Amino acid sequence: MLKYLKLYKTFITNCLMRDLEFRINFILYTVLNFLWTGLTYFSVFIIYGQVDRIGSWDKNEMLLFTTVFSFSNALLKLSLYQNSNKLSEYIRNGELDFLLSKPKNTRFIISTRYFKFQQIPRLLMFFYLIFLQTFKLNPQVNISSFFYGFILIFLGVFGMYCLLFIINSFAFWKPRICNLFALTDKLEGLADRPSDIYKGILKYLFTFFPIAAFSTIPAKFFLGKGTIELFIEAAIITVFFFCLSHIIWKLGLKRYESASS
Amino acid sequence: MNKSKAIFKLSLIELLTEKEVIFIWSLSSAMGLITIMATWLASDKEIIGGYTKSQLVSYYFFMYIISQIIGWYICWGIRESIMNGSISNFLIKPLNYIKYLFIHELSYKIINMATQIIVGTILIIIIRSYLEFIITPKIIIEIIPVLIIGIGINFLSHFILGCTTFFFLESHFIIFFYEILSLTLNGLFIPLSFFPNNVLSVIKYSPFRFTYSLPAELIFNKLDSKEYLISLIIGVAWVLILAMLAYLIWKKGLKKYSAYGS
Repeated sequence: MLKYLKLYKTFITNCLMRDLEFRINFILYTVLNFLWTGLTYFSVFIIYGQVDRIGSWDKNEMLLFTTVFSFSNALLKLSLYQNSNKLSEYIRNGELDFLLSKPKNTRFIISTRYFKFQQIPRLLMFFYLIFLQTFKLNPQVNISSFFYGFILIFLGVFGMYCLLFIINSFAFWKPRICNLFALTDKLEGLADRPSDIYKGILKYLFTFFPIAAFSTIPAKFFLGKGTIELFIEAAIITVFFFCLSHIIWKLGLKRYESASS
Repeated sequence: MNKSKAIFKLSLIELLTEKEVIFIWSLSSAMGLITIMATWLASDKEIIGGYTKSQLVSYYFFMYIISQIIGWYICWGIRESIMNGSISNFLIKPLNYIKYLFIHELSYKIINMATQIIVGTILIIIIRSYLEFIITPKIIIEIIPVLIIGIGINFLSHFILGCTTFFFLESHFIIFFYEILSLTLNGLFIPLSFFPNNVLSVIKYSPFRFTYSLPAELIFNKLDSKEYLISLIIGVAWVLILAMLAYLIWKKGLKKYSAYGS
């Protein structure tokens, strides 16, 4: 365990050194990330300029939801998002050979190799906004709501990472497909609206997939609408997707044929 | 002409080997519709910004079709070929690079259309009860110049964006900034009529409107014949301005460009 922590620290240091080498880029990306966030909030204002409610969500609740989604999004993009998307690239160009030959868990190396420091200012801002908006909407909120809310965010982000990992593992079977990231991007994007606005089969599908757990369920806890059933549901979904991603990864490795050698 | 034909044929053959990739692009763009359609369908109002809920679903479906025709995202390819030096291969050949890009992208669009038939049919089956727009022969005639203007503006602006790599080696942030601006103002994400009137009076002259929003305004009868004609004139003016800018940035960029090695 300690060895893995040390390895992770080395990866982070390495990424920090790289980012510091291109400081202007780092600053510009940070600014653009904020602009993108601005667009997300702007869309909420435009939508609520026309309507009063989307499903059961009024404007202020939707703003809190957007903050929770943005926090989860920043947390995912801090490291897990681009690392899981790299899997299909490693399979396609044969780089996975090199990673498999390392004396450490290959999935750990793939999932932690890169770290995006540009996401840290966003994370801090959303962390602050979650508290600010929650106290505004739910002054009676207690510390346990925050505790469960943040635990759920971590579960949701981990579940989403497992889903993205499964999609990228598809490259074991179809290595020529170089744009699986487009699908992962859209899947994550499905969580940027509350999952209970979807109807019919989509509602059940998004509850089963870690889409509701990514943003809707944590947001409900911050609003004081969370229940123990929702918490258990999110935990089970995350564990299920972790097991599934592990099985698919193992099956994929059995099928893997090097592309380079 | 023979050269163009050869490029077109070669591009088609090359792209046919990437059918799955193109299918994934189509599928992912269709997935983007789910959130926005569900948002409006779950709203508490029946009339939203002058559109009924069904019209809004139809609006986004129409936008999806339009984006498959007008969305020419050539900037990424240009950026990459400048960054890795592969653009030199085109510069030393008796080949017009802009013409090559146009023909190559055109062949991509044709293959893409074929995959869209599958994705589009599934989409139509799912949302058929909401689809609410009428396409008359008059609209078909009127929409053709609008689409040509849209393609012109998109192609040229993405060409300019790609060429900024000549001056800023890491141009990703410029493209990203443009995308944010474009998504806000082109109507793909939010119908322009949802903006406050004072903002709308300015953005209706921006080039972004003449890409995605204008065809939708035409289909949903938001334009009278006078507004249509004025829009065409402004659209053509934007194409000419962008063409001049593209020419200038290409010439200046080539002067600045240098490649080393093989």
